[in-house]
Amino acid sequence: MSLTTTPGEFPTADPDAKGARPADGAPMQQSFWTDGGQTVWSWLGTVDHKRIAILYAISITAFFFLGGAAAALIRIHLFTPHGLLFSRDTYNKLFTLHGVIMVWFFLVPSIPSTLGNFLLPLMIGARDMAFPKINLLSWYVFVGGALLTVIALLAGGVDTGWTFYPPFSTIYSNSAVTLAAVGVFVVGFSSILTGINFIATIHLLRAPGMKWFRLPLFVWAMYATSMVMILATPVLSTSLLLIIAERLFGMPIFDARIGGDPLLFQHLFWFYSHPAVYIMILPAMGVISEIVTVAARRKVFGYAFMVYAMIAIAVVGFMVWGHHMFVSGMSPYAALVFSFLSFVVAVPSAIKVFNWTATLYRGQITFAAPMMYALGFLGLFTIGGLTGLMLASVPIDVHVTDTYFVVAHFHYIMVGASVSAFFGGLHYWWPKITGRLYPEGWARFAAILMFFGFNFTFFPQFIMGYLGMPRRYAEYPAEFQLYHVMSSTGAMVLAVAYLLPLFYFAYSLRFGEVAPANPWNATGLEWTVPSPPPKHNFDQIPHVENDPYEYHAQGHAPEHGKSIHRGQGDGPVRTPPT
Amino acid sequence: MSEASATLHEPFESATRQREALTFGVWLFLASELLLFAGMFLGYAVYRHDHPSAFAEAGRHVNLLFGTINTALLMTSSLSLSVASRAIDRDKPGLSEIGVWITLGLGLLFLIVKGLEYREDLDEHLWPGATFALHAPAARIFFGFYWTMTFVHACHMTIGLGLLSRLVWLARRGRLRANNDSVEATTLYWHLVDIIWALVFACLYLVGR
Repeated sequence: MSLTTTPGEFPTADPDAKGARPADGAPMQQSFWTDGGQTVWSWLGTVDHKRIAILYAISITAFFFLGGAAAALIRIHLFTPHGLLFSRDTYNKLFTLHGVIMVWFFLVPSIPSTLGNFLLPLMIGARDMAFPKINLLSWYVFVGGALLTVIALLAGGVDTGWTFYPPFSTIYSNSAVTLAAVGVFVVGFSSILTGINFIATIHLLRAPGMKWFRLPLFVWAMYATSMVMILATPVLSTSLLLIIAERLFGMPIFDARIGGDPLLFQHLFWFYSHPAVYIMILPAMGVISEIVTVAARRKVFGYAFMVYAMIAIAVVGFMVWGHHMFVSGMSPYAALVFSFLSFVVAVPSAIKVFNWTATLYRGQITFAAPMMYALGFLGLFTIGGLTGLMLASVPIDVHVTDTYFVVAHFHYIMVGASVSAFFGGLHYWWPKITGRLYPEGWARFAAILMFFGFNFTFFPQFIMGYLGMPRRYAEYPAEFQLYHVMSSTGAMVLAVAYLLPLFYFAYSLRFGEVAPANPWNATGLEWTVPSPPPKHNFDQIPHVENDPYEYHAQGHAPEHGKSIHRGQGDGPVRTPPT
Repeated sequence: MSEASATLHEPFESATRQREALTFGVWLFLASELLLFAGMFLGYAVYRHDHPSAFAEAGRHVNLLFGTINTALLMTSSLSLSVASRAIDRDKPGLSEIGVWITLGLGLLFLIVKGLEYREDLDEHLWPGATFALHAPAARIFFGFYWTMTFVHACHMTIGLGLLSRLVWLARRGRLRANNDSVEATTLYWHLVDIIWALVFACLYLVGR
């Protein structure tokens, strides 16, 4: 079977830039993996955005499994009401370890630093990021800071939770808070540098003809995410700095005994940490937009609305932090405003879910693994979003604050949605990144397992949270055991689902079929270069003359099964060796 | 056009665009820096509103003389660096180098004066520890901000001095003109440090006198 393309599928008019040779298939073709040297130093000193993406991918994978191991231990501990494994102190340190690592060293950098770093220049037709050296620096800053924190978390342990609330974190906690906070502070600079690099790249390195409204939605997602990174992260730095100053030097800024205000810390902290949720979810939305369009072979429904919705989420997301503090003693008027704004920020999210669904309408949907993850994302994100609305209304929030309901809600968003999208994106761009096809059957199995494992783990937490089970306790009343056992069992399933890709991805690196340049028959500049891309991405900078997602003419969706030729109906198109 | 004389680095194909990118990137970084300090200014404002008399009393104990000298030094240094930046764009690397040297000297002087001021403050027991000199409890918070904000600012000064030293190094090797975009980037950063100081000075030294 040959790779069939419909006219106008490639948004480039430059035949030389299209030197993709899809059926080439030579196993050791020149690419960024080989060009530029194979020594360790050629990787650690690289300024190639693609290699930096790989460095990030390796580091965050390590952090993901470290944080995941902590989660698994927590869930095993909670099989019985009195706890199986740990003392209360150790339990506190364990959930802090899980939270800190997952939020700052996995979720925040996950999609932007890996897929974003790899794809952004390819998608806009550039040879690299605007500041390649800064890009490498950001990785070193990330790894340095993260290692500091991980040492603190493993050697001494931190028992404050990932939120570092004073006065516990400043006056009472006898754990390694200072070192952990210093590490997170340092990692913040990595986020900021990445954000600056992305925005400058998108502004100044787009290929000729790549107008703003021709950018793939993934690029827009990176843009919106970067704005939030640049403007929110420094405020986290400030709040951590003040915690460090108080612990280390006795600057009594949050000390209530002399008139200080611990609530001020919460305001500063959530001014970052709520937008940080959007740092995690906006890139996921970008990934899903790419996958849904190619899997349905449809133009994205309401492109402009998708863009405005992401910008709106980024902007309004800055004005809702107070909903984390409804029970902290805010004025009811402030609570009213924050509640209202939290409802407002749900509108653009709903627009996006609606538009993805509408994109599927009359689409030629194929259910390859990335699409399975994307559909999982849609369901889990919707549940997470709707329960978010419940939490945004003050009366319900007062009832369920600090219960497992909240835990379930943010895991639906941050794990159910964000991590599903990350895995979907990994599968979708795996052939491009590595030049190999992953085993489709195993991948679909893992996607389904992940969806069920996830719901199995976290849906019971909604119920027990609503019934009053508080979070962060090492023990619980026996009446909640059924839910905890369900949740813990689900977590084991989820762990298997997360481990599976590790194995079959590794397998595919060596034994997988060689991927053509464009295995999905997708639009987008990244598919016009060979898989894996050469060091300089494009032989010649392409000229862009089409809108994104040109899978069919405007207003003429092809009839089912007629004008689209797919490989085998699903999965990447397999090209026979010629 | 001297703007195009800078050496090209990957991935750029035009020097003008490369310079635009650098300037734009620095502006984005400055926006981020502003928010870093904004958190502290916000905290300061909240507490000033909560404890007006304690803050007014504490504010009378900071050393106005040293603060004023430092303000003058820093404003002048911004002038000299502006001259250096304009000079390199008008193809006068000699004048530009002099400007950078003056800025570097004034910046160092600032840190020396700041050090002297810190010594005086410690002699007067203004560190909010066990031997703190003032009676109003919230005065400790004021000095919490005083030490934190001036220290963070001094860190920024030190980074700025590092950047200026790099310019001096480039100038000694005759490569200032090929790096005129670095001069502009350093100038922008230095101005931010300068503006932040103006605000710190106003909040900590002037209000309530």
